[in-house]
Amino acid sequence: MAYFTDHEIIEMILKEESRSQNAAIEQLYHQNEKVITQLVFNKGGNKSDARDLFQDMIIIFLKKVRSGEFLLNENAKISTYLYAIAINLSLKRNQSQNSSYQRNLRFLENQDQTMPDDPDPLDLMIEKEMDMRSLEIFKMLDYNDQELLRAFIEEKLSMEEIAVRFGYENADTAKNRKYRAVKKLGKIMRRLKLID
Amino acid sequence: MKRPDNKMEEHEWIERYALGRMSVEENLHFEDEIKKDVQLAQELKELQETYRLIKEAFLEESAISTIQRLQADDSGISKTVPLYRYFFLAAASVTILFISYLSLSMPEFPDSENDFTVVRSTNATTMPPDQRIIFDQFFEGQAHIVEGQYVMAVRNFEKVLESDNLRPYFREAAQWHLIVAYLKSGDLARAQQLYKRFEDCVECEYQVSSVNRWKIWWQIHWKNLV
Repeated sequence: MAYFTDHEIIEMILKEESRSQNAAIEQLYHQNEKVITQLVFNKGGNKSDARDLFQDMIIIFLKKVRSGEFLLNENAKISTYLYAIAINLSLKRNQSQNSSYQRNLRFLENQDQTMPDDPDPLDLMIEKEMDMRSLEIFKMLDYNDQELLRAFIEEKLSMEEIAVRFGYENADTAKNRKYRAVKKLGKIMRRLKLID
Repeated sequence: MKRPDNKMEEHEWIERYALGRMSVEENLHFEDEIKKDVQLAQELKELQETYRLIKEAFLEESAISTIQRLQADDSGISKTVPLYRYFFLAAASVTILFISYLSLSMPEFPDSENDFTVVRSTNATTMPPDQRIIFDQFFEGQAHIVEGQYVMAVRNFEKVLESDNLRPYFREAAQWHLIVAYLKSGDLARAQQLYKRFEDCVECEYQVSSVNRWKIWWQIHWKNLV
């Protein structure tokens, strides 16, 4: 497997293209999976918890990189940042089961020294509480609408091709369906206050 | 250049700009219109954000499926390794047990006919002295093997085989016992030589089971190696 530097990984994610993003994820997985699993085990979690946490950690990291919130400094390492995200996610997950959550939170708030790349724990927790994955929002659409938009945006099919695939009468019907699907998604986003 | 006048066409017009599918000329015209129309700018912003979310959703979907594939690969390995190990351990244990059995256990022969028909012309009540001697030598040899006095057993069976009036069944029984006596007394060359006679024997009357043949074969070769 090719080895990418932290800078290369960031560039690959910023390309916003599945193949390069997935190659970056593959390296991040091999470099961090054991540490993150151990962290979850230490906090009383099991293998399944570790898997879920790893997925969430990567999705948050990808978002932070794409939004420009994560900047790679000279002394920073992606693995340190990922670990910090994992700790905070793990703390949040224990919140419902563990009454000591509030104490930990106060401890984290009062900590003077934090790593330069640490996301603010509070910020991360609150954000996660309100933040839904883009995929979850997209999946609020009907299955047909999802597939139609996938064909138009991902596969870049023309309206004629979409009409044939989905069995619509003609390209105009396909256009109309796509228009309605986009509007529906816009409505959902407004309800979630993602659009003003 | 004319701005579309119905809702659907206008949506497509904005969409083509948002997706970067306009010509340079169309692009300039669109940007002029945005400056004049706040509502159009707002619709463009909404559409851009919607498409941004769709693109992110697809990237997330792809990221999750990559992680799940890696996790599945990992759990596949961790399931295979112990199973493979168990299989290997079981196979190794069975092999070791079988080799130990072949190496350490004594070959067992069928009971010889414990009667007075040791030699050809027999009469159970009036057995000639030379036949009685052969008969005694055979069973004395067996007793010496059991007691671990293999050199004595060699002498007994060699004595038996000196007679040229033995029934084939009894001759073969004596030879098999002699092989064991040679083997245990350390005379491997003779044991091997005598064993070879029985390797391809088709018409043998004294039937020694395959397992017991393997024991003798293995013990001869093992001792040769050691």
